[in-house]
Amino acid sequence: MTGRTVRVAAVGDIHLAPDTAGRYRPAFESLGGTADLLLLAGDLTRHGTVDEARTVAAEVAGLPVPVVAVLGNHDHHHGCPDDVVAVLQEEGGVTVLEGSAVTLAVDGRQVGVAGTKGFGGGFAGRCGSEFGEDEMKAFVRYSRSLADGLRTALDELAACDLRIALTHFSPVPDTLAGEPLEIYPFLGSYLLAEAIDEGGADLAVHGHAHAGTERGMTAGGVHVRNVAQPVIRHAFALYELHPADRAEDGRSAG
Amino acid sequence: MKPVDRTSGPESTGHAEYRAARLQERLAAGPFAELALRIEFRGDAVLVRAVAATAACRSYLLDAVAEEFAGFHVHTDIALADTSLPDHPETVQ
Repeated sequence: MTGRTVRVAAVGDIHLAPDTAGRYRPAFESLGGTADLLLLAGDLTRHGTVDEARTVAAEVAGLPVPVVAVLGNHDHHHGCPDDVVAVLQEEGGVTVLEGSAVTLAVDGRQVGVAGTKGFGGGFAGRCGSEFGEDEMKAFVRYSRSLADGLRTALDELAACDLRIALTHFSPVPDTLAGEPLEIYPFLGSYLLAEAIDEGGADLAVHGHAHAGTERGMTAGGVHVRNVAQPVIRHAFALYELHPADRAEDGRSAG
Repeated sequence: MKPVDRTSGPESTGHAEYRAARLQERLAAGPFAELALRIEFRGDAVLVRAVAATAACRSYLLDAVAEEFAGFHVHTDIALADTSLPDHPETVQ
């Protein structure tokens, strides 16, 4: 870390399995010189099996920076997300967030990360609502409950110098540009953006939209970055943030 | 009612669309999972775009595309994922 800069490395949708073991390890091992933390924005595995989770854990175990993750929809596919989380935590040393937060000390400052997988439903004015069939109500309620968890987790970070919201699904349509419009409701939800704006954050990071674009912003002015691996086209993306500068020049941190 | 032939091909766009859906379902159930394919219909041709994690994954995908769209004119653009180091950070402000 140099001066007031906090350096955040982030990638999502790495979809590791035993046949791709070691693919990211060389790049991740270099993080000690370039980043202060690594964020994994979900879809770490292909099918959410324990074997695949072990591959992910081995990929990040013992890295020189803390690793914070959320799961993605792929990590739920096999029906054992709790086992995936346990492997990531116990074998990989990863902090896995779901409606929760972690605070990291970075060069004397408190960097908070709040996370949820999130879910779909669409974006304001073009979204599902709790109406009609029980299945539709359950869909929207699930998305809302995860967004509420993110809001609560961000609230817990109010005293941090820098706050980051980490999700798998997208909080904004901006970073979906390039995806077919028809599938936007399956790629994210405005409820996440609303939670981020109300809870407050300096940066929101997500994955899931492989054909989207990297940069976006919430209605409240929070920078959003889609770090899905096919979007960033590197082992990870690197972002430098200057929280103290924001406070000093009077700009809102979201 | 005439039985539906799902294996060979009338060249109607509708049939191609159903094949596209079946290809996505097949990939989702396969060893490489859902691959975020982009399938587009360009005149009488089908364009399939994706990013594959490995050469084996790309080969599997190309085989599946060829089988599902047998009889169609198919273009493919399947890139391999680049896991190199980023060359510079972005200053977010």
